[in-house]
Amino acid sequence: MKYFKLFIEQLKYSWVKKFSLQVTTLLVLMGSFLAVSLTLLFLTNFNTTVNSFGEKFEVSVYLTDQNIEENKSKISKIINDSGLFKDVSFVHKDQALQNFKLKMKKNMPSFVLEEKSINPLPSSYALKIKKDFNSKAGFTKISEFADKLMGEEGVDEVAYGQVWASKYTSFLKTYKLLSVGIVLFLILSIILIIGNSIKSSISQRRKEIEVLELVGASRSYIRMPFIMEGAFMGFLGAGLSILVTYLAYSWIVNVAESNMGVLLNGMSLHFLSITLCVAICFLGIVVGSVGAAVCINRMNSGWAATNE
Amino acid sequence: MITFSHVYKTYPGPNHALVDINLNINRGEFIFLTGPSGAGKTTFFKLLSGFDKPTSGQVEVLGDNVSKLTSSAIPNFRKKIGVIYQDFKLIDDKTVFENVSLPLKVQGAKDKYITERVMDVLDQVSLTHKSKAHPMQLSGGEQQRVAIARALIHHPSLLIADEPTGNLDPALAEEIMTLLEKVNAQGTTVFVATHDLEMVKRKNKKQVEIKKGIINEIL
Ligand SMILES: Nc1ncnc2c1ncn2[C@@H]1O[C@H](COP(=O)(O)OP(=O)(O)OP(=O)(O)O)[C@@H](O)[C@H]1O
Ligand SMILES: [Mg+2]
Repeated sequence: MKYFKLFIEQLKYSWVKKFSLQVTTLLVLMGSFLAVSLTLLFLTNFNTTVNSFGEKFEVSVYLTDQNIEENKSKISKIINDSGLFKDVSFVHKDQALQNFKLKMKKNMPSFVLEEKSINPLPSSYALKIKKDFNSKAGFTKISEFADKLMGEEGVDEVAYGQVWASKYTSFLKTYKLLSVGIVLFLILSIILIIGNSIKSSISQRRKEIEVLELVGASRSYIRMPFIMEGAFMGFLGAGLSILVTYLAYSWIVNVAESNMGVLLNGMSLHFLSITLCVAICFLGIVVGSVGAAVCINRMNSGWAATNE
Repeated sequence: MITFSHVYKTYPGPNHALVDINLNINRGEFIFLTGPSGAGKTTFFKLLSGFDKPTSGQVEVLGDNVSKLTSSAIPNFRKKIGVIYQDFKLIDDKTVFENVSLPLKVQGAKDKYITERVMDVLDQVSLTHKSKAHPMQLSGGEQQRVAIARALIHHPSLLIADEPTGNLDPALAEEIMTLLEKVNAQGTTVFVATHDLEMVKRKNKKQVEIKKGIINEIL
């Protein structure tokens, strides 16, 4: 409570005596936190999108046209034994043709009316992969499984988006690493920004601090208000950036829904979770106090009056 | 109470501001520190008040070895003493009331007690009517009295006054000296630096004379 009063006094000093500097600092701070929030927002949506895509990720096994029934039971067994798939469906080539005709009926009625001659479509399996494909190891397993299956008699082709899948895995890794790097870098710059702001607050009150020391003010009595000011700046920067992120997000969702509702079909966007918002604000407080503490610690104490 | 043993203070130059100072002061004494300008009076007080460290030697005040105080022990030492600085060291942003209240505020005293004490000491230095003014709006003598009030507010065991009457007219100077004697009568050890040898003679107190950094004790 004692410190709270000092802190309010300190805030008054900063915002009255160096208003424009405070506003500038806050804007820069907000920008940095905005970058953090946006990175996290992107990561959130990227993850959900990719995860929902992962659920749909399939391996297709095409069979040759000879001895379909015979090969089918053997291949089914191999697939089931592998334990990689959660959903296995077999489509016979006749069924495939049927489906194809059904689809085409709408667009090209004439095509369907054509006399039944040969069926160019193969029989195939559609295999839905269990969730663990997301890892590199999971991908390797699927790749090995595909190679093994290719060697089986009656298997014509195994398609699982080889190139895409491997790119995706490494991209995901790179992206996550990059995000962590960006966020760490931003945290560092936020510490510097807040540290600088507190430094100016301190130099603004240097004479007063000296007098406080001379009348016996303790270390914490002198430092606490500045640390609290740093925490407050961090909190304000983080909170405002979340607000701005939210406004930008609502705007984007709005535009997206009215302009490309079709494109977004099945793909849902999410804002940062409440937990994440609280975490960002908390990060602001922690980073702000650390920034202030770091620059305060460079300030002399006790004998400061004489040593400067 | 106060013991200086073989204290030297050398400023870069080298400027030997204090040379082999040995001194013993008892509790409750009233001492004048005299000497020409540049003799080392302020330097002596800086060591006495824990404002600066001696180049060598020991300074013991109120049971503390001042030159060896850690930065966390310094605040507690300073709470026990009151110092009137030659340059006042008032805070321009704060009112007279706030300036005077500082020593009690940093000790965490209650607001009601602080108000009582501030009005009390401001009355003692005849500045009650200026409590809301800022130091810049005061005359030199008024600023000096604010500094005196601030040094007295927390009932220090040792009062160090560096030329507390330097900017005052004779009548006011006499008033302030009487106040310091009153404080001394209540048990506070008082150490006053002054150029006013007339007054020193008149008051008939213990006198310590310092010349070119060397002390002559006179009774
Ligand atoms: N911070 C400093 N750096 C270097 N030299 C200093 C410093 N402070 C004082 N001195 C020197 O130390 C000597 C003593 O100075 P001091 O201020 O103690 O004198 P004084 O007796 O208080 O004089 P006055 O009566 O004018 O206040 C002087 O020669 C001065 O130039
Ligand atoms: Mg002096």
